[in-house]
Amino acid sequence: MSNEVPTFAVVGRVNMGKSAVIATLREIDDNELVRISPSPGETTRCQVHPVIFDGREYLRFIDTPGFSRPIEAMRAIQQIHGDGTPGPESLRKFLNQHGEDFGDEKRLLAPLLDGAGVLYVVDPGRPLRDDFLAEMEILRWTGQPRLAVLNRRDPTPGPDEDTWRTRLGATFNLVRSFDAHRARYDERLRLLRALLEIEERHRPILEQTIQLVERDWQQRREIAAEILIDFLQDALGLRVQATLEERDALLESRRNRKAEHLAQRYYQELAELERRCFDRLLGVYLHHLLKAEARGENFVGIDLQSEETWTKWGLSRAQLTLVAALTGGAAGVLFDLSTGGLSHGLGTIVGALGSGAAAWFKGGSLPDLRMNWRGGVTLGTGEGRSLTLGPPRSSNFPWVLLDGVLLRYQAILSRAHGRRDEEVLSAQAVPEAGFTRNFPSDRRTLLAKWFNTCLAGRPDPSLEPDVFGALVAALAEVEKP
Amino acid sequence: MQTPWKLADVIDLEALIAREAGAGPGLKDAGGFQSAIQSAGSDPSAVRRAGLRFWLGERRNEIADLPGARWEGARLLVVMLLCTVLFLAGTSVVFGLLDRARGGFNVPVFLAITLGVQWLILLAAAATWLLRGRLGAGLALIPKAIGALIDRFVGERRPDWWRAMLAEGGRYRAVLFWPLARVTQAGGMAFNAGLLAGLIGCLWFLNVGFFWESTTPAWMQQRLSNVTTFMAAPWSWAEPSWHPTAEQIAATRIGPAPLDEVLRRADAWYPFLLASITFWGFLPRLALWLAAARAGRCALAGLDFQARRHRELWRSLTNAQPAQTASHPADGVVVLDVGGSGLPIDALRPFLLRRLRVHPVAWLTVAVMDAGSEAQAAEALASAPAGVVFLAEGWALSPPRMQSLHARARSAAGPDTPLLFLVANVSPDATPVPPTAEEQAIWTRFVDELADPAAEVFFFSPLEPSQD
Repeated sequence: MSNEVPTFAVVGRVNMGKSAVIATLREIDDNELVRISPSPGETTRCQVHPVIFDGREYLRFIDTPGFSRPIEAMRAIQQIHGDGTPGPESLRKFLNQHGEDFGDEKRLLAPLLDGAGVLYVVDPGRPLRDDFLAEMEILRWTGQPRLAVLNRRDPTPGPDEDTWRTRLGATFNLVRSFDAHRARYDERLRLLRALLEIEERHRPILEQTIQLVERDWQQRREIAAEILIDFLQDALGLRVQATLEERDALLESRRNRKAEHLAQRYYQELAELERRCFDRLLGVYLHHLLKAEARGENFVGIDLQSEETWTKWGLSRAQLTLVAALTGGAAGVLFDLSTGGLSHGLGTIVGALGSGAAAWFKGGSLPDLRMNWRGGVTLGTGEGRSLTLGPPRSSNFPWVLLDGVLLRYQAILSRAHGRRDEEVLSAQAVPEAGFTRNFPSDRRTLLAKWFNTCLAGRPDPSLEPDVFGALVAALAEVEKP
Repeated sequence: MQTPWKLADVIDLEALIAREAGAGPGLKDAGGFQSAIQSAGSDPSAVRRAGLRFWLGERRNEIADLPGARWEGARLLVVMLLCTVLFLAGTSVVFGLLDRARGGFNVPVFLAITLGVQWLILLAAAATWLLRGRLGAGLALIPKAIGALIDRFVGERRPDWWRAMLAEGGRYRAVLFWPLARVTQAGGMAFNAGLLAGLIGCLWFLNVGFFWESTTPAWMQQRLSNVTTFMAAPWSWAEPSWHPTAEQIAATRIGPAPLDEVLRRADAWYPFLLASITFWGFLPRLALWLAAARAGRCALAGLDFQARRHRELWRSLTNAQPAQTASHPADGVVVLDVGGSGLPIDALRPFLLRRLRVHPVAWLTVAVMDAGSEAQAAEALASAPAGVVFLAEGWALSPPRMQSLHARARSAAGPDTPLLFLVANVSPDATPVPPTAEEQAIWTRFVDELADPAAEVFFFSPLEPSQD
């Protein structure tokens, strides 16, 4: 084993979640690569999980089989050593003298004797039995840096919580909590930093690793912001079109039927855009068991026809009015400038008042798709009309859409890779209020300006870098626990 | 101190990004890149500019045919041609304004044509600038026209870098606009120099005079007096003689005095006209040229390279790419159900995991009617580093068949791969039960006779509750 690469063996009793800790730390949710199941003994051999950046290995975790017979192993080691406290030499003899009767213990001790640090995973909800004390003792004899990881399965405290902490505190350099089934990025980073505290020998490379992990996360956040920009541009500019013969267009029932059919198509295409957006986000955050949809054709996206969606997500009426007034006023300023001041500020006033009033009266309304009938279309059967539908008239639409994406972004980040259940990113439930209401006003104004260009079908590329910065900041806020 | 960006650098960068679709090849000198960005300080914009500058330098060493230098060359050529043409135009205007019949210049007409038209153009340009938001579609013709020029001089059809910079708007458009403004102002300076040269030439080589005429002489005289006073304001405090007095203005009107006498009294006009062209024609152009140069430098210095294509490139240069674990656990085995016992995988998996310490990655049937599954079994061996488990019923040992299966597995898996025999019987409710003692003895003897050190036999037994 190379001494240049800091190595940590993840050890513990069987079924304590060692593999889940590795899976969450390394973001591996593929059971073919890291096997996790409620039945004990899934890990039978040591498996190396290197942390590699640009082809260089910076850190190495070793998933080990759990202790199967720790008390017997402890006695065997003591017997080999005789009086006093055994050390690495006695452990080496134990490895050499014993066969498959202590197969698991031998396999988990081998990397420790090669210089790996100890990540001892325990569930503090379990009673502290002698088996655990024997494990701690054996690990202490290795003389390697030791970090105890409390991987709690059950939220209710166990009977020996305090004793666990006392014993672990006495035997290990550091004790940290890490829920492998719920840990988010910041907790993963905290655990990596804890390694830095116990492993002085490799401080520079560990610091470098942490920097690389942070940079990698920042990069993913930036890619996520770009995915959001793509989605918002496409979704806000989405329009569906159909043609109707002139004689059919005169009949209200047929016109309505056509419009209804087209509205359905609009929402389907919008849902498809959302699905693609989430597929890309899931790819960025390396999720394979979390799905954007159960089946492609069933994905329905944000329920824009639910009143709850429009009341809980997006901006409040007052915020919408203010944002609209500001952007309308800004357009009016341009008009006033272009008249050389001859309009005496009328453009600014009319722009602000008109946009603000429209937002006040229309902002809270349920989706009512913009509809545009255009005549003079030549069809094979004669004259016809074209009907274009979308996007919804409500000025809250972009904000509702953005909140919907941000809430599911939060769900993606909340999912730990140590879980092995399949889950569908649900768009149906409206669990809580969105994020956009808490945006600072300058961010709201900037986004509103950009949304308007997208809704007009001509996204302003000169605003894109600022919008990107605003969305990166928004995503960083969403990531906070 | 960082080297400032020039337009040719930006063009080359954009052309490289367009050519290499964003990411581009990696850095040759990663250490040099790191020191370049570290020396740029802590401002992220400065760091990015320094890093991209370094990358551009590296790429330029490898790719010769970048358009930046050609663009600069074309711009200089355009400047020279334009200046030459406009200088000649200036002198031509002066000669055109010379009233040969009378042998002099009509002063108001001279001022209106030489300076008035220029100022009208400047005012129109200023109005267009102010109204640029409203004239978007019309103004788009300008970049289209420049695009056609680029096609002509740079030799590329619709270059992607040009479209990318124009589409970006804001500072990127400004980076292209200000050099264009500089070109036009240089042309303006050349035109005014031409006017001066033409006028001086007329004064030196011809016998010319200056006059004015009007149907409403009193009104015109007053206006002329006002205009000359206003125009001479920049220099009259220093050189009052370069400002025609009211008497001189009155004396140069054609009508009361004979033409010859008028032309002889015109000495006060030519210093005024030379100064007017200098102060109201040449110097404003020079000031605008300097302002455009400064604005161009500011626009270049203000480029933050935050457009998506720049971000992608920057990420590819700065971010170490993480690699995902691709190694599978080393305990995978192929379970070959010999003869098709039908025992379910779930019933035997815990035993395999905890007693044999192997993990079944494939569960196939051999020695059955379906020949396809045997082929599958052979393929699956490749993904089973921990070996092969032959699952057989205790009563069903057929030594020739098992020997044949063992030999095939051994030859496919290599000499050291473990080959394990798991023997179990099937109860009426289709659950595994241990083989009888006699069956165990027969199987043990059979495996011993194989004389294979990597072969071992296991007999199923229910797991103890603590192990389950």
